Amino acid sequence: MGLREDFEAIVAGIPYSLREEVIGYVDSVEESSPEIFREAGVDRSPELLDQFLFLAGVRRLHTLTTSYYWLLDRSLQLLGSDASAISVGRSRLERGGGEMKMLRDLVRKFNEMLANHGLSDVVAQGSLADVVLFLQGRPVR
Amino acid sequence: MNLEAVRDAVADLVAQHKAAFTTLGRRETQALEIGALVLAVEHYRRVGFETRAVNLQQDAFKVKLSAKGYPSNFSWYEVSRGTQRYEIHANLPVRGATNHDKGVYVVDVGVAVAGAVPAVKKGRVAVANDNLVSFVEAKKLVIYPMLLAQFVGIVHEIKPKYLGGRAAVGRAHFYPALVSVGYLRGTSEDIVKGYKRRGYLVNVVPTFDERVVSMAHDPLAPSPFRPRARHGRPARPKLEVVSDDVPF
Repeated sequence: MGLREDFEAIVAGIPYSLREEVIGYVDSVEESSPEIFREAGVDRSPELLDQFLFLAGVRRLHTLTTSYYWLLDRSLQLLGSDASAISVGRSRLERGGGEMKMLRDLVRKFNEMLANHGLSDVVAQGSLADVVLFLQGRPVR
Repeated sequence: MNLEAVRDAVADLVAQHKAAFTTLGRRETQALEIGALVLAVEHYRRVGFETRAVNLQQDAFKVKLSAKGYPSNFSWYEVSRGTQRYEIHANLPVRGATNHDKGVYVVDVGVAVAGAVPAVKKGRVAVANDNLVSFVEAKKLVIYPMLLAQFVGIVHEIKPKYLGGRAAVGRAHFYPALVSVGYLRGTSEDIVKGYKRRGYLVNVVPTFDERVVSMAHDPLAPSPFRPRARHGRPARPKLEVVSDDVPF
């Protein structure tokens, strides 16, 4: 099994909607990969493409996790001191509540993991062409 | 680079935080609904407006989730800078731009002149078209050509001036926006590039969650919306460090 298949097996453990977004994204990146590799000035090989799509998936999972957490957290921060919760239909999201702590912990651990593997910049902020360059050990633009 | 080690670390992360991912999945729709609202508020905050949550209920900001219900039964944001004051509402009903009918459209997020949203709770309530400044439509879809056509149709019915190459309002405001967690598919990218040549003043923001991450990294980064305002400073940057220590 390649890294991409391994990744798909890993994300089988997350909720369906998130999983579909991540896997759908990887599929779309594969479609665009000839252009992305051309932009990076790197020849495509099956092994490099597999590694690239794996990191594209990790990057998408990180983006979804981080952005959704930030949006929820930001919506609570924007309330200032006037309120401490967002009421959406029947559910209530509390500032400092258990759900937000859990999500914050996930984002923190995800960021730590990326940093431990030297992936923070390329996964969190780089372009897809940068990911290709990174895999080739070439300087990221 | 040992990618097998990264794979194992990702597997551990997913296994150890299953409950958090479940929560994220459950809150995803809410994050999107709130997300468009937050992006609009952040746009104004980052060009120097003060922001304030209004009409709070039981210590909470009550989000209007659908077209149903009177705006005054829900919470909204007020943004102000000097004498300028606007309100940002979720699912805001607004009159169409034409006088030929009395059509009412509901935009996902609407920016209106302060005080222009009727406070009544009777009959069909809608903001007069002239009092709507701009709006955001949010989708959890890949941006395909027909979605773009639908969005341009909405702009045409509600704020056609933006398709005529001239903004209806001042520079602090953003052009009508389509934001999506999906990416541009097929010929969509080319269509969006064509909007500029056609003088369409609209924002199409694919994978807006990636733009959100950029904003999270940089409290002073502009919003993803055009036009990029060049004046003003964020009014309350201290908000950035209030809640937690997550190193974005």
